[in-house]
Amino acid sequence: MSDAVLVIGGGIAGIQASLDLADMGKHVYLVEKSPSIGGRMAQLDKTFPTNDCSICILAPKMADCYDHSNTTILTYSEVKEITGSAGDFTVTVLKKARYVDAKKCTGCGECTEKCPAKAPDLFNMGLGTRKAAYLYFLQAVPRVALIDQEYCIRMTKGLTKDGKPRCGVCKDVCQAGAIDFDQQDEEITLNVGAIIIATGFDPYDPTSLTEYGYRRYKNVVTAMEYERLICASGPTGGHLKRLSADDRDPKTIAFIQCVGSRDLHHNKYCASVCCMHSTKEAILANEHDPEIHSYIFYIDIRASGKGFQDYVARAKKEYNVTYIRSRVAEIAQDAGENPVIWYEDTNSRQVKSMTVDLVVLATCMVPRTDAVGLAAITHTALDEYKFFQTSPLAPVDTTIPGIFACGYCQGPMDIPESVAQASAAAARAAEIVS
Amino acid sequence: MDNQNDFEPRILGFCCNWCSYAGADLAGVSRMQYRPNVRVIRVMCSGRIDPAFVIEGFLRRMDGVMVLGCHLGDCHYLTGNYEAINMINEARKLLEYSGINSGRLLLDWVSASEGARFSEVVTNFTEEIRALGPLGAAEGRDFSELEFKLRAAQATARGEKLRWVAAKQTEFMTEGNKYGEVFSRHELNRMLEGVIADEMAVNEILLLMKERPLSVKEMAAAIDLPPPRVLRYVSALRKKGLVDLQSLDGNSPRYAIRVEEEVQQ
Amino acid sequence: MSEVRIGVFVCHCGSNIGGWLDVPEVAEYARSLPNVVFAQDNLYTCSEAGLSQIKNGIKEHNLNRVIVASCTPRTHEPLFKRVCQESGLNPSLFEFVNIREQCSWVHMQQREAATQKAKDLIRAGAAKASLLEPQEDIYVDVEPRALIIGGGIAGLTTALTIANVGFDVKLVEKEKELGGLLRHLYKLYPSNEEAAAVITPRIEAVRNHPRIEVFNDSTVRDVRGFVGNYDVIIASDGKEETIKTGVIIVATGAEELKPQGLYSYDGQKVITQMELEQLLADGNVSATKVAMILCAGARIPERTYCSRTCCMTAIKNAVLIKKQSPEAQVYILYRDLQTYGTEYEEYLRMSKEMGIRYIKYSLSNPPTVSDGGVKVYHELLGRELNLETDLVVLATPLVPHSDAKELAKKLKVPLEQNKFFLEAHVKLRPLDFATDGIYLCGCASWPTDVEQTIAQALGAASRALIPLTKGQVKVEPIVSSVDQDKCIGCGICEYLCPYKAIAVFPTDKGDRASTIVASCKGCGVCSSHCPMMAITMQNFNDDQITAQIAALAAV
Repeated sequence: MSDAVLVIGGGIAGIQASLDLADMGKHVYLVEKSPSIGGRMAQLDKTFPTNDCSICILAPKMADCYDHSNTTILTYSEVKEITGSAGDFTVTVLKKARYVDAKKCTGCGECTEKCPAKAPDLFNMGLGTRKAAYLYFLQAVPRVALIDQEYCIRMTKGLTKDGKPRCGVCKDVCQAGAIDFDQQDEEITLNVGAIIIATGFDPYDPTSLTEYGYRRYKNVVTAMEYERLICASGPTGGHLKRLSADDRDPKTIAFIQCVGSRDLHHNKYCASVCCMHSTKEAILANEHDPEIHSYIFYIDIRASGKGFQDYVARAKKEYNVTYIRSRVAEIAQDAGENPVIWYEDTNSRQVKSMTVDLVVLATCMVPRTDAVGLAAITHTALDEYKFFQTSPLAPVDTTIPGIFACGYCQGPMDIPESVAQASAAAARAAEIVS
Repeated sequence: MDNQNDFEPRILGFCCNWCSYAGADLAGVSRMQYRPNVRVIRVMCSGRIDPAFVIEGFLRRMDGVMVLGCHLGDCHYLTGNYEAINMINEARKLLEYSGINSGRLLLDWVSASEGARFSEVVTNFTEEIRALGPLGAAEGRDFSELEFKLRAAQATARGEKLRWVAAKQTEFMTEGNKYGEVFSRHELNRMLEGVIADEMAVNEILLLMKERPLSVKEMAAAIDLPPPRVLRYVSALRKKGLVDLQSLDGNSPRYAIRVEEEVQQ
Repeated sequence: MSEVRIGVFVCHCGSNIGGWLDVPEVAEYARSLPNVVFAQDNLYTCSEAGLSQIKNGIKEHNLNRVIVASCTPRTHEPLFKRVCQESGLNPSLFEFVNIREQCSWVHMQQREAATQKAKDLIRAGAAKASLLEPQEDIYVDVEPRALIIGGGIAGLTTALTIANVGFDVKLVEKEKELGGLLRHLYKLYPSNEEAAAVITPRIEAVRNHPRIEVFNDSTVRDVRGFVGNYDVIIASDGKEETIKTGVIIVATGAEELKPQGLYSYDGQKVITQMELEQLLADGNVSATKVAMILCAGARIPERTYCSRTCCMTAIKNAVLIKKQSPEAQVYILYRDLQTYGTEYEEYLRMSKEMGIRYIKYSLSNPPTVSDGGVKVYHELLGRELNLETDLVVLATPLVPHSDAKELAKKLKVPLEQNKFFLEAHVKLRPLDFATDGIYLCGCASWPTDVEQTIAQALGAASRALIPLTKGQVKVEPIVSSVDQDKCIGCGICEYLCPYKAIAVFPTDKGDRASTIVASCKGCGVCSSHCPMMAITMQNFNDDQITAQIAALAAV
């Protein structure tokens, strides 16, 4: 028997579940795949319906979670194997080599500054680049750098003719002596009484919805990309501009709803948060530049949460946001690289077109690609969409006793619902490990 | 008029932690723009605001003072904002006695969800103060003149006598005094005004005597009160041992503050 | 006292502050203030990097006061105080200056004025910080018991969870029977399970649980105390009983709006969904031409919110009618369909396949109900339809109970504008109230379906289990104290204190007031009203506030 709990996934759901349990005096192992906790919420600019700055309200929770005396945070780590049953699980975790000694690194950023190798910046949805020696993002927790072995010159290019490594700048400049090219992956075995899965979502890749022109047209971006584009810590420093070479500030923006969702050919379900995040993104655009006019192309406006209707009403009234009930058939592009939206206005039953400066696709949100693998490791069932299967009357219980799921990995929901579910999963886990 | 327009009022604000400060935060989160004239001090409850703080603000040449609490009935501490009404009422009377336009003092309510209202209240009050002009302008008086009055008001606000009556207001209006007499707001106001009139005069007399020994006539002239009334206050002060006869200038005696008192003060 | 050494950390908050005022200049200015020995600007003071800069600053410059000028103390103060503590600095010696919510964000186009205001605010912060005194945390034991108000699905779920972990639970229900709204429902979406089959076993489990005591037909008369030590006075059968409890959970639910005067509502031919549930349960639906009007009394100017559950309730009931009599014609008149998530969207698709017809109407052109028919302008077809009906069902929103306001007052917790209970933070603290030790879940907070209600109920149990399992909570040292030499024992403070947290006791010097620390909430009314100025409100004392005023006024 063990009274510790394993939480898989360090987004807001995993953080909240960990904090609740740690505050109850249980020991929590939080395993996070990426180099920092924070999850998707860390990538958002603001949150609806209060326009709270996302990282501002999240950062204290990240720090609380990391600093808590009852938590062990394993970032850049993955769960490899789970055996046993409720009350007594044995878990094998693979802690990947960062090539940086976490105990020595101060997060000063010197290695990043001097590193000559560039890599796509995944935290910024691939917009812009980062170095091979890097911090996952500005407010990363833990604040420990790592080296991307796929892009590191020393690790990819082999030795010179005279048998010397081709690079080592990071090691040279690190005054803390934290760079360790010989660091190895590490296997850690944990004994826990309960497990909480909180692995969240991936944005659905809209490339296969060719009618929207994503990747073909520079000025068609996804909502997650847009979040990074308007965020002060994003690739443009929060300056909202088009991705085409003209670098122009957009004055008209179209938000296309239900991209790959409520769609029999892609994902049948409603992703539940897009109406609201698009409304927020349109409001933010107007805050950046009061001349911006936004158009939201929707099927139904789903605004049923606390304060949501008033938020939508304010968007219309104060922030130049127009909602168009429609079906978007195709997005083309004119000579000036402006997207042209062809759509059926379902209210007037007419086919119309609109030329805008920027299109933002509210893509569906789907379970993380590794959900299938994790389901196999945990022996839990997934539903037809690959969300962890729960039931309406036991909303955080998976099909395996002692293993719980909360947040977007078990179905579409917004942040407060994820937080409530995370606490719920903590309560269910506490029933087992109490 | 140009002067009016150039004038940027300096406004001191007090916000309670739970409602109005949260409302101010929400105004920020909602990016509601307002004039940058107010400087807010956070307190836990509007009932914490001692009239002495308000007087202190004006003594320091603030052009306006704004106290914002929770809406009546919403106070995080149940009744703190009702106490704020009493306290600000007292402060307003002190200002009136000091010759300061009481429009320079605002008590209002803003909830945690009223970011827009916060920005509106601040904007309106800023414009009202702008219209009044710098402290002294609307009053038609020099600041040094006001300062003397304000110092007396400060001493009055900190004095036991006024504090006693002010603090008893709620009790007097709901349960009555120790003889069971319940007072109306009107009666209490008169009582408060009576105490303030007396205490202001006494404190002004003490302030004058701090400068130099004075005769009753000189004091009466300086604070614009009938000499017999001044004599009455001086006699009372003598009985309390706060004031001594210092010298006789012909027929008129001069009074001064008793020395050990001065040391204490 | 030893020399005051203040360190000031001015945050750029990315561009949230730095974009609108001159942060380096503000930091430079801070350095010039009295007692300030160190000042620095940080990109994000709250990041790990920023926090370690504070720690280093304390160590390297021997700071004994720390000021952070960034966002609002209402969210970030605990974090910075903890960092101070970790560096060996008493957290009471930390002072927060708000230059974001109350400066950079509200003076965006006035860079100079905003910069000046930030300087002024920091000057006042430094003046106060100089006068801060170290204080020790106060710990209070937690009564190992939970009191839950409301015996619907939310309250029952919370009760069982807390009791299963091993704590006593008192469950207060104002009705005779437990079960709440679910007692009035027939079947639940999306599983079409009978509501009775869901609620009855839970009621049984609660009734039979050795750790749960149920007070039905009972109301909360009064609430006193504070986290860990609440006294809740329960009135039942004309008797009153005081329950000592560590935590309180509000699970009072909501009720269906009775649509008096709407769409010719008569309870016979025009009924509500809840009334339809009863008919369905009794097998009494004979109607074959049914129109359901959604958003009846919701999303209108006087009630702007969407009640979240009504679309699915209507679709489910339409499906049930269709299942009972497949020949029935069922129309659903809607504005926007709230079939969010995976299962509801699928349910909607299935209902369409069954032949249920959906008609979109708009608020500006609502349907009209007359005897035997409904007239509606179909927004998508662009023409008016005359539907022949023998039953009209109105989907009305869930509204807060009329006694919510009274309960909120007793608990000293807020309601939002529609009179639902208002949580501590809409995004990250959905189940907590701002007042410690009181939590909420279910429809008392906002209309929610059964699944979400159960999740929230479990979550509220988790939140409540934190103080219960710890057995102790920390009280902020913002409490008053009485100078026994100045006090004359007049009792004004005792009369005015809303929490009875200060009282006059006989001492060898005569009657003197003193503070009951655990009950003191820190409002400071006693201090502003003491005739002798004998009461000090810690962290907000006269000297500190006067110093802040003076500093703000200094040019």
